[in-house]
Amino acid sequence: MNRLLLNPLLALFLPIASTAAQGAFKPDKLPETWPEAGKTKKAAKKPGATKDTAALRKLLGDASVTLVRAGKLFLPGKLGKTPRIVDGKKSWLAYRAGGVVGLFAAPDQPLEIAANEVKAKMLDFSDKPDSFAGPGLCDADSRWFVASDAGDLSVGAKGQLEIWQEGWKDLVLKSGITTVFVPAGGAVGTSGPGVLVKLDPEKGATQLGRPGASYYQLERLATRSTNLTRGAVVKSLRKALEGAKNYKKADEKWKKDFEAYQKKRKDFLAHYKKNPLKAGEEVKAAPARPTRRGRGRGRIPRTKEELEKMLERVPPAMRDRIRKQMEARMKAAADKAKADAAKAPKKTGDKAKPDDKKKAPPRPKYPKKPKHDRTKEALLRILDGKTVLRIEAHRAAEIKAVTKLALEFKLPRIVLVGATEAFKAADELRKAGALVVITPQTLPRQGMDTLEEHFAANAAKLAAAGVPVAFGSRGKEQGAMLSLYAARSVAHGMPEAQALQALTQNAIDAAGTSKVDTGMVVFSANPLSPTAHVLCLIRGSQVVRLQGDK
Amino acid sequence: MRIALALLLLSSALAAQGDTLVLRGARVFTGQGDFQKGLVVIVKDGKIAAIGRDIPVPQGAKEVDCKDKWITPGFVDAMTALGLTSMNENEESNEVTPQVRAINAIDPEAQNFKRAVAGGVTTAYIMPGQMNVFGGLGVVYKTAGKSRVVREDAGVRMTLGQMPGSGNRSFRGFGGSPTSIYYRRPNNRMGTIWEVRRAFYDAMDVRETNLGPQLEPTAAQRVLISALDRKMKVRTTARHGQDIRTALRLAEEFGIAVILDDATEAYKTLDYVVAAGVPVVAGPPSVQAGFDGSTPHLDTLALLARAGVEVAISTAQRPDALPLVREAGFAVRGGMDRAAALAAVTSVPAKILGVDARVGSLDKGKDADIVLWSRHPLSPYSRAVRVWVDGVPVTKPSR
Amino acid sequence: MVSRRIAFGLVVGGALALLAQSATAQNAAPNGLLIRAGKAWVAPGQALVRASLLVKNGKIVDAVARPTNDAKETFLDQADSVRDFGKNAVLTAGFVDVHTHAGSDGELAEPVESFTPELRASRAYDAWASAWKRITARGVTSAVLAPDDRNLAGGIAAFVDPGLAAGSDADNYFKMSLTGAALNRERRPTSLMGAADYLRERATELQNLAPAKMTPAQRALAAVIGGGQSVGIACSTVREIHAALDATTTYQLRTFLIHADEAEECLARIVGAKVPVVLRPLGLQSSRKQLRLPGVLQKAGVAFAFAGENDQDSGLPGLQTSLAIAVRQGITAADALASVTTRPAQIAGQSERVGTLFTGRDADILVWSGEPWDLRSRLLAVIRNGTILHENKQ
Repeated sequence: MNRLLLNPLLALFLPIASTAAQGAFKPDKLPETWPEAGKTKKAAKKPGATKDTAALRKLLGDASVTLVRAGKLFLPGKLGKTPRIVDGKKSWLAYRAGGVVGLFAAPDQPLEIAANEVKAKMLDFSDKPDSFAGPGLCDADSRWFVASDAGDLSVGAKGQLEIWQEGWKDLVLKSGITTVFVPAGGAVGTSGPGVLVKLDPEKGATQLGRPGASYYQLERLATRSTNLTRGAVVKSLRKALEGAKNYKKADEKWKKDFEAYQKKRKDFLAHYKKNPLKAGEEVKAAPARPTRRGRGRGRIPRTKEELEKMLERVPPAMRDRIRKQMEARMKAAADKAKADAAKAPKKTGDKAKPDDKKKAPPRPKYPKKPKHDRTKEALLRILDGKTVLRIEAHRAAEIKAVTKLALEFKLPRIVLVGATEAFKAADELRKAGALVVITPQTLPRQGMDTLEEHFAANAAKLAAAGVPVAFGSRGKEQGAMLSLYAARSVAHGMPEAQALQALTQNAIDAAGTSKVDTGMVVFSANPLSPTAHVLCLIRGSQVVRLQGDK
Repeated sequence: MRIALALLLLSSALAAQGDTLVLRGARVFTGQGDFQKGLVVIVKDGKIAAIGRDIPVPQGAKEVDCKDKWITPGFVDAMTALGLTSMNENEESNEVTPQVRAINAIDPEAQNFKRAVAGGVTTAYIMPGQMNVFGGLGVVYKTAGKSRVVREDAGVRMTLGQMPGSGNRSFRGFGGSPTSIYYRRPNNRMGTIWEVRRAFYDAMDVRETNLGPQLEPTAAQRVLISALDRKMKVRTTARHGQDIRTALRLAEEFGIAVILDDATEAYKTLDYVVAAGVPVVAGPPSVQAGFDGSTPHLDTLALLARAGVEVAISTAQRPDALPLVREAGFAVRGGMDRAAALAAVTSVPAKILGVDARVGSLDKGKDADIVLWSRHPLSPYSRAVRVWVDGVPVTKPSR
Repeated sequence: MVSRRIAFGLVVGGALALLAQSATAQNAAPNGLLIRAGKAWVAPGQALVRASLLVKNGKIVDAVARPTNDAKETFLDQADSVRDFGKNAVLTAGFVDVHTHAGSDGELAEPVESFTPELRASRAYDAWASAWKRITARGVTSAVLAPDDRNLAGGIAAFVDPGLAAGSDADNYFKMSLTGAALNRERRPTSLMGAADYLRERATELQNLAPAKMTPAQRALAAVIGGGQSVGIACSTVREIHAALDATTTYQLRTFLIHADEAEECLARIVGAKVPVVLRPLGLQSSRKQLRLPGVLQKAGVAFAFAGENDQDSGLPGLQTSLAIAVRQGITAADALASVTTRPAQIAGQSERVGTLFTGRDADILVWSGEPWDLRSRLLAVIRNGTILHENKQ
């Protein structure tokens, strides 16, 4: 085998400066905290050199992997974790279909590997110092694919979208947005789940199968609302969640009953397998459920005690009369039962094995299932933390009420959309683990407090208070401007890494599905800069280079 | 494929400017009579250089194979609202606005121009709407090409019947501000005629008294005076029988040159129309519901043509009208002669509009507005294969 | 001295010419303000690196690139105060907003009549309105307060100095509107045809009329016919743009178009007419068409500028947002900067005063923390006629 010491490709894996980490090749898994490339890791955590080489070999030998290097690399952190922007000269970002594999610092030892063993794609943009690589951006509130005559998608966005709509390619190519979330919603109250749509310049748009975040609107800005009406809407949301909780309880009870039923059925079947039925013989019926004895005046008590109890509720003056009536009826019923028993045909074989018959288990009854309720099922997904609740609320009072609900029902995450006055409730939002999607509806309205340059300032204040934010355009092409709006938040003090986090991972989280492959994008400059354009898009194993854009 | 088409279009457009085109092999309708075989049309510099049999073909001329195809002049639609926002485009601040010009509100890029071209219409008369007694001046306008205006101020619109009164109020302050400009006459048919007569009499006063520069005629009066002097045609919209008779009476009273527009119920007043000798721009025969409560008949056009009235077929600003060529087909269904129906969408409207020196027929020196049809145009299956305006192809070539 | 500066300074483009002029201004008394920054965009596309600007009496006396070895030398003898904004700071000329209705609460139309050219927006200019403070804080140092779109001829716009109570309120262009807003169903004209007719009627009245006998409205109209005073015509749709350009040729107006939302559909006509266009500001709510338009106009060679219009709070910093979005849409940075500085200044006829940082211009200077078209950059200071009006902490 022709082994090379310094394959030209692998020269890229050599550290640029001698100060680089010793044996710093560290495969790491998203979405844990990212080691900053090029820095020495703690000795205790440092994996052995052989292991590194093996991992690197494995990676390089994998044809589905794409390794990207650019002037700067961006690594989103999972919610709560710090996102990072690292110098791309000393590291590579590995990606394969499904998401980013990890960040790899260059090893300080030359790697011995055969040229034909290198199967991974390697894209090196580090000759362009401004270039910038990271996951594709996501518009957290898009109106793409919504039919112009659809009105409100109040039953959910899935199946309602015109996925064949065109014109978004311009958007993708220009701004690096590879995923958009189309929420349901319209009327005040609950709406169905939204849909995440992947945009691929070659394969077209595809809807993600999993249902996204459900939508709940507290207020419609187009119509007039008062404190009281909005309060009532919060109350109805509470009631809906309560209902879902009860539904869950009933469901759990049914599950228990069903288990018991299955056990009984097993015994029942086992018995008759052992003792097959003979001709004319019948299966022992299930014990009759207590018969419905009517209500009110028509009800016939079965025992004397029952009769007395019943008479307590009757006005004393009427008691004697009713007692007489009831006793007559009880007697008639008893007589009838006796007559029925006498009339019933005698079963053959009764005499043969009376003991066996007694031992035979009765046919088990299927437990009654609670009525299936799709609305409550959807809300249950929220209570179970399978998806998130997106709530459009603008005023601080409502935002605080919603955060209280989130704590009360132990919702793992809620997403506030719009949230004009969110900066006034930042603490509550942080405590409730809320994520805020800033949309153009965040703009000042009458009777709401606003900040100078509200859109950006609100986002920056929330981020400073530790509340994760995302940006949504509420439009189509307008999504291309989102990164500029994030840039303005930077001017208001939001760290750049967090602004990028807002455009990537936070937007995906706001969609209610945690891990989504948004592909990789290489920009000509930091996407927050207006001069940035997309050099290259990586989706799955596809690499689409965009040249001559500028 | 699309690029190839575009290139083809581009190259033919370039060729059309300098080169000479020879259209050979088609059956040709020149504007009168019937289709003739063997006629060759030669186009040069946007004009028809020659038409005839066995004529010399200049060197370097570009041949267009028209075998088994049919050629007509570009159609002329003598009553449209193409390029205007609606068929009721009016200056409503006054009842008498003969001086406003439709050309000021035309969107030359409007989609309905493109549809008209695709249907073989290359020239259209565009006029203001019907909500005023005097609606304003119309313009003869090409539907495509570079220089679109054929004749400005080609006629002034006068509307009889209920329509001009329909927007006005008879109650002061009822459902509007007490000072509303819509609190005014007319509110009915009689009032409309009163407004017409008052406007004409005022104009006559100004013309005859000649009070000097201090009391010069207004722009509106200047238009009406030129109508009284028979320099300006009065395009009179008259749909009901009595409105047609009123139009003819007014023509007699003021000596104005009237052209009857729409004339839905002309079958009722045929004798009067024939006797007056006025031309008629009829509405679309396919439309079954007349405006203003009038009752259309399919055979009106045939009756008028047979009686010797100069009659053109138009889409009459109706949004529910079919393409003009189909309306001509309906006229034939109503009993009109084929040749007469074709003339009624080409040479006759061109003559009524006063632009017959340029469009409406294929003759030496006239504009090279030519439509190549896949079949006899009046066949329901016919399609405009190619359309030239001023010798330049304006549609994508199709088979 | 001058030659030494050239030897040290990195001079881009036309800055050379400036340096030649700078020698004349050196003998003045030392009462100037010296402003230092990492870079100055003297004009769009002309940068001075390590720039020093000397400001005196509200004017820019000189602008040069500093020598690298001894930064303290330049102009120090002439300045009694120095402001150094650091090496990352970027200077540009103050923004010029050529079409705004700010601070007037809908007072900028007299809608009973559609033809009111005698009205003057300067008389509705409230220099103390809080809106102007906000606008200046966003970098607009000169503005044209224009009558709004509700009248066919709304009046005369006013060139104002926001932030200076005793500033200019001079008459500027003649504002016209052919948009739907000007066509009122309860007065003349109700249609575009009627608007053309109305204009024709007013223009006809002027014929053979001695100037002494003219009404104020007629005088205002007479001043624009034949190409005197410039005319801003608000128009949105294709037919309105055509109507505006028809009026331009008929009356030989010196026109610029305002809004022109459908300019792309009739681009050839606009190119042929050689008129500049003042666009609506860009923001997250702009339509696809509006977003495309700057790029389309630049490609066709049509000069365009951005206006603040109503300066409604879009949640973002006014004209800077338009600048950034235009750059994102593919406009060169220099062209985008020109569309908020030099071009609006030209349209307002004030390019001798504002829009650039050349010698002798008003000292309207914006100090940015980075490039002005990058929304991450903040305005560190707004200098108006040599005084610092607003200052933000870094």
